[in-house]
Amino acid sequence: MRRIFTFAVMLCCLLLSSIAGAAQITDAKWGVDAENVVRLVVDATEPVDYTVENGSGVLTLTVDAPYKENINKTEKIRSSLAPSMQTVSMGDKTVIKVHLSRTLAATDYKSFTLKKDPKTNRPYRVVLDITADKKAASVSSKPAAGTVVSSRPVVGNKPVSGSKTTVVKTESKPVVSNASTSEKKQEEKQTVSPAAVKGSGKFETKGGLKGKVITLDPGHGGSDPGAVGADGTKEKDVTLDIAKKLEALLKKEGAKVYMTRTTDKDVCGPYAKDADELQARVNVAEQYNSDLFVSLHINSSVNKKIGGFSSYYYPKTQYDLKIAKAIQNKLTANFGVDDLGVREANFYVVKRCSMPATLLELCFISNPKEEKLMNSNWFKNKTAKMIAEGIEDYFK
Amino acid sequence: MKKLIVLLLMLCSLLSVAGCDMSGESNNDKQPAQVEIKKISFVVYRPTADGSEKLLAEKVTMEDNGKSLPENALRAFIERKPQSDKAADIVPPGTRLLGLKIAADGTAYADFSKEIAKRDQGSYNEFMLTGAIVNTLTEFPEIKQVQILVEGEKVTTLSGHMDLEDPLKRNKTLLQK
Repeated sequence: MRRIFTFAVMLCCLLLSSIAGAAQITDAKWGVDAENVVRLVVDATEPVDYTVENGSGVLTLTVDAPYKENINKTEKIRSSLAPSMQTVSMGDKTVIKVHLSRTLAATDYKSFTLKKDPKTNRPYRVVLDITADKKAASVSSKPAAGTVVSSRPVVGNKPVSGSKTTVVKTESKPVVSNASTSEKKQEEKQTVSPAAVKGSGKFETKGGLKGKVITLDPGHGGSDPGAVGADGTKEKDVTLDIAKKLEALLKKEGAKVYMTRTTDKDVCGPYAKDADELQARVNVAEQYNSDLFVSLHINSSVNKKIGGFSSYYYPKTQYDLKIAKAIQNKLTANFGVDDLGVREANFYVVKRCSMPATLLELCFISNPKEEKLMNSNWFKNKTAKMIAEGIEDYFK
Repeated sequence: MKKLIVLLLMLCSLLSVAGCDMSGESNNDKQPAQVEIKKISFVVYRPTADGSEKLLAEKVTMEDNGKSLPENALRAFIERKPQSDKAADIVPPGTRLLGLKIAADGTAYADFSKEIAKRDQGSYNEFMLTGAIVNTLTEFPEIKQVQILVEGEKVTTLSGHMDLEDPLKRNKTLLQK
């Protein structure tokens, strides 16, 4: 009897501990995005409860799970509003204090959680955004006539009563606090919608390359490798290499070139949702009032025999087809790979920017011959050169 | 003391019962027994195997399983291999149809498992996949446009190229000879 009792107790302890003690904090980091929003992201192995407290000069995020090891770390943040943050283990909780240069209003920050994303290997996350110094990058919130903008409603910050907000986990566990799950879900969505930057809506299409503003967008990057070939070649690396070569060629001809990324990183940040990540790329083009937007990609298909170049456009101005054609002509005339043609497609980046744009698919990583090709400097240099010549033709 | 033991045992059995429940959940998916065999047929669109931007119509005939024609057509596109080697199977492996709802305004909400939002698929695959789904569904007059959902949620894109925030309409260009 004694034995059974002991066994039962042990079993219960085991079960209980596996249920209650599962969540752990694996990382806490900060970032400042292009719009000057300070973002703290706490990675957790499981959904966790958290609270945010707005004190004078300190914003405290308390997460109900221990940090993976005992921690007491202070780090600088590249922000004049929130110059530093401190991550401290407090028993079963992890406390992150953001030191502020001034006191925040309840609408100056917002918090939400993001679900585990097996697709991109991202863990559960608690996110705290400090938006007090958000730049008016979204200057003209009124879209220019005829341009395509997101149909998503732009929702402002929900007014928060009192200085302390309690939020519960988003998972389907029983809700124990005053905030309802549906309310939480809604919050999660509205916080992540990125502000679409709108430029002047004007662009040049003539007069040569000199002085033209061109934004180059090396597809994917950072946490998103894009397509991956059988030999391990990653789309994000090939697109970046070609974009850098193209940047140099265009600059030599006197164009002003902006890149959505110059290293292996996500444009919006490693914690961005798809909408933010794609919009961030469009925003770069808008911010600099670009005359042209060129997004570079490598194609892939489950059919390994398919290969070739294709140039995509969205017919929003009369010049989108023109730029796609100009580049496609150069590419296909100078390589012995298939010409898949100029194609119209409902692609996010080319559809949502206001200036003429094209998305180039520079061969197939899924085709073994082409994968080998795109690993050679010869291919990357020549592709860059052909695209540059196509752009030059377009601006003639 | 005895009370404590009883309490603990009860707690244990409660927990173990809860565990059983969760693992046994997937068993109630059984098909009802078929009584009469009736044939149904419909068209499924699949991309050509040569990589050109075209869809081929494929006629599928199957036993009536009581499900709606649009749902059967979408399931056939996802679950069946192409009948001809002129057509390619471009559905990411593991993709399942979680539901199909047709709203009164003619918008079909096609909900897929997360596998469909495969990162490692080029724009060609993403474009033809969405085009095949939309054209297969809009073959039915009650469906005018299609909103693709992943695990019940609206998505911006499947793999970083297509803009899926608004419902997609039939793409006639893909059907031209």
